[in-house]
Amino acid sequence: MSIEIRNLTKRLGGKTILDRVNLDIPEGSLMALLGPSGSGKTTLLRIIAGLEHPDEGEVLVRGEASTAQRPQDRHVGFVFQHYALFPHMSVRQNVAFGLEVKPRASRPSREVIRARVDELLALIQMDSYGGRLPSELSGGQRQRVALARALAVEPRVLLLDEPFGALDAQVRAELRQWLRRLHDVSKVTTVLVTHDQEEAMEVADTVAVMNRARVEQVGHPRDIYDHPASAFVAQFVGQMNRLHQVEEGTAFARPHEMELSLDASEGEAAQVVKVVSVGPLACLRLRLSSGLELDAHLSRERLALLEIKEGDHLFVRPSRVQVFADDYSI
Amino acid sequence: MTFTRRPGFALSTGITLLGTSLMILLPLAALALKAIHAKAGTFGTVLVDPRVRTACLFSLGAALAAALFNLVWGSLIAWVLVRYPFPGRRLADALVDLPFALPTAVAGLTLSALYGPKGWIGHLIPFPVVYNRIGVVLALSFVSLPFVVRSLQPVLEELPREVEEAAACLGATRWATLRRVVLPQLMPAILSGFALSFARAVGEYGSVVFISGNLPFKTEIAPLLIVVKLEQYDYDGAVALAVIMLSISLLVLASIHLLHRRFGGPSRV
Amino acid sequence: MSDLRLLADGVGEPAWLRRSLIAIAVSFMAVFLLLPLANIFHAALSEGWRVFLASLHDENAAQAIRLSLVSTAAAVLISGVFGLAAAWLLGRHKIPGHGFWVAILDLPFAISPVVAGLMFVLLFGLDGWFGPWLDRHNIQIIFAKPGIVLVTAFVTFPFVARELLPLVQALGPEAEEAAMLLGASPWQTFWRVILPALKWGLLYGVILCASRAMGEFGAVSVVSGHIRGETMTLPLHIEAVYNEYQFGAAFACASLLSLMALVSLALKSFVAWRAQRELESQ
Repeated sequence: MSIEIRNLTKRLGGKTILDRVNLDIPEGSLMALLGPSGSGKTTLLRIIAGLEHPDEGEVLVRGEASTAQRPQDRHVGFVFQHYALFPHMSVRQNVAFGLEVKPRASRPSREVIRARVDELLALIQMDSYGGRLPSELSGGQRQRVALARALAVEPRVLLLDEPFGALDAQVRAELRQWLRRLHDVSKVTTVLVTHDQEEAMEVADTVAVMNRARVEQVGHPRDIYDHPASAFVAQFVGQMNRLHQVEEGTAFARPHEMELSLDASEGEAAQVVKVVSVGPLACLRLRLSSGLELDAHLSRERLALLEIKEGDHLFVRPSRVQVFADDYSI
Repeated sequence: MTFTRRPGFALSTGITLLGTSLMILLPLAALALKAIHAKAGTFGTVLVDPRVRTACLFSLGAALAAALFNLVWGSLIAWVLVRYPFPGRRLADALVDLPFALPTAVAGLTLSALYGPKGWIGHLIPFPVVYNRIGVVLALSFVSLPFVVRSLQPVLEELPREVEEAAACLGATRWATLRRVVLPQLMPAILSGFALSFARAVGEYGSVVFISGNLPFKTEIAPLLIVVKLEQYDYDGAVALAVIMLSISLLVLASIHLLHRRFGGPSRV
Repeated sequence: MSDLRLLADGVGEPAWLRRSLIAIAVSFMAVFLLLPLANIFHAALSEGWRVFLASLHDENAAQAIRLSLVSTAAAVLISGVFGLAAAWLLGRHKIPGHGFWVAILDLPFAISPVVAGLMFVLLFGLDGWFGPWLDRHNIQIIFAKPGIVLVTAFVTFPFVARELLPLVQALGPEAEEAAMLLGASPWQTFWRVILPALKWGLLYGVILCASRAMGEFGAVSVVSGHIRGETMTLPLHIEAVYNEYQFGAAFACASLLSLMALVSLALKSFVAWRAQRELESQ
């Protein structure tokens, strides 16, 4: 189901939450809305679900305006950050809820509902947990149940609001991959809200970076990393060294695009303040004579080759510099 | 909670245990022993006395009616106060506590005037309220109104809105959401408020003596009968009735405790 | 009360239903709660200011007011000291029979005031446990002021403790431990760390306790003996003059108690508001 967002504006108590937002979510894609808290991404998601109403603009679902539709009629699956499971119902009852509340005419028979619930419990690998209450499950299990519950009604769109935000790092990584595989199979148009750039980069086909009520950039994760459209995106997605002011704004360079050398003709003099070499990459903190501190990432082989220790003096030069106008800051 | 003994432990233990023993356990023990040592057959004679039976049954029935009345109105008030904004909401919230703050005698006095034949409300009602059973239920409802509101309010405030939104996204109508998602979660609090309301109403005395007219076999309630028996120096009879009343209170109290243990506080899922 | 977050149309109730429910609830409260209150002041002044003032200046009324104030003060003191000790002990330590001691705090709420009065008659009355001994030493408790103070203290006994117990539990032991590690003595810890943290809860419990003690009727009625000018509290005095068909006087005294009830309501709201604000600023 394709979703087009046209000029969406939402104000609350004198504050603009969304400012003329435009966004196209192609059919069958998995899009991440990425941004810091307060950037409006959750509100955008809730408007798509019909849980909130925009002040201006509209949401077109497959070309039709949905603004007047109630959430009940939109056929969206919504997964909340804190799961929002029904605490007094078992896992089975939670998953079956959406089917059981259908109007009598379109409600599947009891057997069909049971079979569908079985199928979904198998999908989330929780076949033997059907009788448990949500309070008897771990966070990761609760979130899987929430997903199964949303999928039970075969939604046309799946909306996830920071679905893994409250989970441990390891569970999070597992669920992320699981969600990706699930999407590859089901091909339901999915929108995922997150403030975690790694999560967005890993899971999504397309990332929309939001900041201060606006969408700053939409694109493939790699394009966004390689070619950020603004200083904000550059700094929010991946690490960035802020170098110096130039006429057009500020110059930035990624830490892995810093070239180090012992040869004085190859850049500016710097002192190594700190070396952290854990994992495949070595992270260096350098201080220039101007006092400016920079990060540089290089392979551990290269580090060994250069024989760099803390306190050493060397020369640094960015291999690629990107310049952004100074309109934005984090 | 820790197991370390701190300075001040001895002092506070002393005050707490001594205070509880002297102020609560000792009077209870006096009542219990008096009941055990009462003349043989006292309970039997008291229980078969039709005046006692009528008063006890009326007390229970009136308290039940009042608790049901409060269940309906208390739930509505709690819902409106928590969920809907309206001018004067805070004032209305404070007003809920009026029956607790107002001395019961004052409540009885003003209710009997208000609903009396010449009262602001009484003259509009075609049947007598004061000196009538309906008046007793009215007084009991008034003094125990805040219980349901106050036990429901915090639970309602804690209820995450997302759960209702989730139900709506799954296609449930508002009515289905209220019936199948919201109400089951509120039920323990509603029941607890109902039980508290009942316990208070069944023991209430001050407000009822003004409005009931204290007519034997008609508007006489059990606590009043205890006072009557005491005035006649029928201590054994008074004690027997008091033990019955106390058992009812303890039963209600125990069921509230069970309810809390079973359902606990509002848990976020 | 926390701020409202309305559910969106379609998720929450439609506006017409919301408005109707508000209207029904507010009208009910106006008729069921506000009218009785208004009626008190109206009836108190219906026979004019002179009768109103005379009823309060009456010697018996003055005595009743004094006794009410004294027993209220005593009840607040007892409930307050006990409440602080019990809340700290039961909220911080696991003593043998913990559940029992906590559960028993609910008893005075659940027991009918008349039964409460009766229990004290059985203890201190002429036929009671201590009756003969008290009689020999010429001490009278039942049908005298000490009895009134005692039963008032009984019905309000757990008010402060019940209010403070959850606060102590929520507070946790860290602040106390920090104070002790910084070298504070137990008294200093109590006065400078524990008490300030509990002050709003304590005040709230004291207001509840005072308001209940002031208005207690059933229990006091049983032990008072209704001796004019001696063992009458203000609520008992109201009943007495009411039974003599002095309705104006009864309502005049009732209006005084109602005024105090309103003050206690306002104070309670204020304390709750301050406590909430302090909580939010932390």
